[in-house]
Amino acid sequence: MSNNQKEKSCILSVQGITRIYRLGKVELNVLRGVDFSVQKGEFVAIYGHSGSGKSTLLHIMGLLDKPNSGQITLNSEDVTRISRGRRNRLRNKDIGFIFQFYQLLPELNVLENTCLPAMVGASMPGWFGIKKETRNRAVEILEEVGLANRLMHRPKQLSGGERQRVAIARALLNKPGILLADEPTGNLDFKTGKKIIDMLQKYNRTHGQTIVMITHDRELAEPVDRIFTLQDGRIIQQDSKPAGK
Amino acid sequence: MYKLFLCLRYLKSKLIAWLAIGGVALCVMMMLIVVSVMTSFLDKIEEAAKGLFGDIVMESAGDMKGIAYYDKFIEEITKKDPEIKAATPFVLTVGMLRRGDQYRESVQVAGISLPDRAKATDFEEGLFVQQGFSSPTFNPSLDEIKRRIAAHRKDMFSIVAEEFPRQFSQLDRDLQEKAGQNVGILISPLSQSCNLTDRQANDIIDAFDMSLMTPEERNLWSRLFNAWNFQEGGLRNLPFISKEYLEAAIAEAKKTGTDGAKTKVYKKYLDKVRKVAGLRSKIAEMEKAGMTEIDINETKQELEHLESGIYLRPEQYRIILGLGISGLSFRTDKGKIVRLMTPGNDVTLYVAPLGREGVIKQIAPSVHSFTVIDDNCSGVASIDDKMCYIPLETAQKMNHMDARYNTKGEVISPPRCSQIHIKVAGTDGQEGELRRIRGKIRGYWEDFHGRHPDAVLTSMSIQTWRQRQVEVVAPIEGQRVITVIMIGVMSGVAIALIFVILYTIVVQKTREIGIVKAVGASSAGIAWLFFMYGAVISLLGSGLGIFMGWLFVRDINDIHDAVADNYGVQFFSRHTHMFSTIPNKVDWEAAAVIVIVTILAGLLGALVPALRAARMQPVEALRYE
Repeated sequence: MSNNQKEKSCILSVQGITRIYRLGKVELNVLRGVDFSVQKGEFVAIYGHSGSGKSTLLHIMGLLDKPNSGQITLNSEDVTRISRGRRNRLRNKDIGFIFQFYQLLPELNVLENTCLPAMVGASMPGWFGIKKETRNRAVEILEEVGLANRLMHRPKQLSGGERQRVAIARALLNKPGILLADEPTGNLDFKTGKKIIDMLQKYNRTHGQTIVMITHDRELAEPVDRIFTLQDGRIIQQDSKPAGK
Repeated sequence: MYKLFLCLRYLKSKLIAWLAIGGVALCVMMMLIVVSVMTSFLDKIEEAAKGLFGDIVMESAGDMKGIAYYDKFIEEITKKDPEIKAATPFVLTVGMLRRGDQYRESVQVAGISLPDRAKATDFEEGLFVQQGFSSPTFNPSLDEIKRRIAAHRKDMFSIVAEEFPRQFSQLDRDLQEKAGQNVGILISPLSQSCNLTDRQANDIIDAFDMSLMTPEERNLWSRLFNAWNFQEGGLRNLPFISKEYLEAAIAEAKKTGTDGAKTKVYKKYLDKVRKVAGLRSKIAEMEKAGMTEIDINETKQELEHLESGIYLRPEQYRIILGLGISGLSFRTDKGKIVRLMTPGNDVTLYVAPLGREGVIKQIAPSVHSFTVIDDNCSGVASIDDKMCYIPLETAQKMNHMDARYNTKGEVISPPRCSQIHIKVAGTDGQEGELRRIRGKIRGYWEDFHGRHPDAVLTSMSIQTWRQRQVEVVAPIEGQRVITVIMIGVMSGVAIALIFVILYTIVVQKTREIGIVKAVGASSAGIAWLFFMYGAVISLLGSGLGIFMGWLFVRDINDIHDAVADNYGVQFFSRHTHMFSTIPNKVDWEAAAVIVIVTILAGLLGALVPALRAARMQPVEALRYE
């Protein structure tokens, strides 16, 4: 799939996003009006130093947090002020999350952790209808991320890289429109981190998965289509890669 | 779906959850045990009281002269009202039992009318010889008595085997088997009837050497020894249960002519029997001649001496002892009953004649010898251990409640009884029903009293059995209230337990709650997850607790005995308590209440942590370290 073919429509756009935290009497302007948009099939990185507000931005994009002002559009729907139930549903179906600290449930094995989003999205009778299908899909993704022989392992029996791959598989299970990755390599050594990025890139290429990744490591952000640099709550720079890379 | 799945998974992998379940189970188990034992204790007392005195008791209030025309009244009400199933008169007075010069024990003497009493109360259920007979009498059959005494001796054997295992195991198999057939060979091996060789007798004497026994063993052994001798004495009297029986036996022996030796024995007794008859008619003549008790007493004593050991006294001088009268029967530590005074033995009864005058004016009590014919265990030891039962007419006579005539032979004072015990048809002893019927009986009585103003001298008290038993029941009811308060406290503990554990888990799981929310779980879903978790903990805990409680209550007596045997701790003394065993009926109604309360408590305990979990913002939860 070529880059040109990916340019279809805008999947996510944020406009004039501000976010203020109040710590007692002190107001902390973390985001001071962020505008950008992501096209379907794009692999985008948001680069910034720690404290630049990139995680907050990701949480707002992922409907885990609300902005003080501004607008978020997801799949042409204004999702800034939607009901809590709708947010939950969108998070479940349309957004996949990858966190820096993997965030797997220690009581569940690899396969169960991967199936979690489908389970959360289903009612009890509904679950029995989709259980087999979900399982097959989970196994398929886990095979793709190279964990075929780790299905029944618990998170604590896995290495950091393996855990993050489980997290990726979980994020991809419900075929979300957009995958949000919050420093997915932040807790890994360079080599392992590189592998994770490669894997994301591969998924982006082969499946056309839209990915927004946050990173503080520019080098790791190299393979992406566009890099937004966030500083002091604003996007100060946008770099595009040449098409075809 | 994830709620149930995660809930089960948390249960499976969290040790703390199992601790919580165990804690809840212990609370529930304790509650069930306490409530069950208390409730069945109370039920047993109530049952026993009801069984003894019927559903409703009528008593002349404030004097001891009693109720006249009772038979008329009983006939009237049982005919008139189908709700009144049966009624029976009852004489109650105080007296003293004597046996030989050694034994004296004050008792309550009840005059009862058999077999009518069995219709109005559960009297027959607690009898030894005539247990469960629908028409018990003061004249049970000889064979029945012998059969019961033989069975009782088997019990004595099991007591010896159980309480003296060390000594018993020293005997060879042959002797052990022989002892199983006849425990007497252990107790008095030298007796000729035992048919032991000298060597066997010596083996037994060596094994059961009292100087080698512990003080407790020695005490029990000597009591068994006494019981054995008493039983032997009673059995010796049993062949001659009545004069008629004796005479018939002699006639039979004469006719067949086969059993010369036996006939000789019978003849010897027959001589005595004739002498007794002579003395009896002499006493009757003396009484007719108006001689005083003191003048007649010497002849009476001669008669008593002659009578004892010949044959059982006539039916009006038979006595049924309450089981547990001090010195006449006892319970071992393991709750087995040993009877010293088995049927066939004689006792002398002194009765203070309170009936006519209401006070003791006469110094001389009414005295007569009685043959023990049976014993009765109502289940309430405080009643059984001082009650003995004699025929109603005898009691009336001895208590001066019998009819008095003028010189023309006209009745100037009808016979009286102390109480009337009434059995009501159809009710299960429910207080409300009984009170309604009591009201009716009061109406009947007022009507009757109008026609027979001298039936009672003061007023008539009519009470349901529960009203009468208030003194016994009230303290236990009080204890039950305390138990309910204890249950409240324990429920509090269960709530706190579940609360703390769930709270800990919620705090531990903060990040995971964030993850689950991040992938789309709603706040309500998270609340449900933890709510369900609390519910499952309390459900499993209470289920397990009920099960353990049931096991414990079921085997409470064995557990108690095991503790007593191994650690010497005795919580429940069979000597002093009302019942031979700790009540072991599980109160399922209470169990249901306990389970419901525990689950509600668990849900309450789960509510706050569940809400805390639900309110958590996913972003904050994810940041939580």
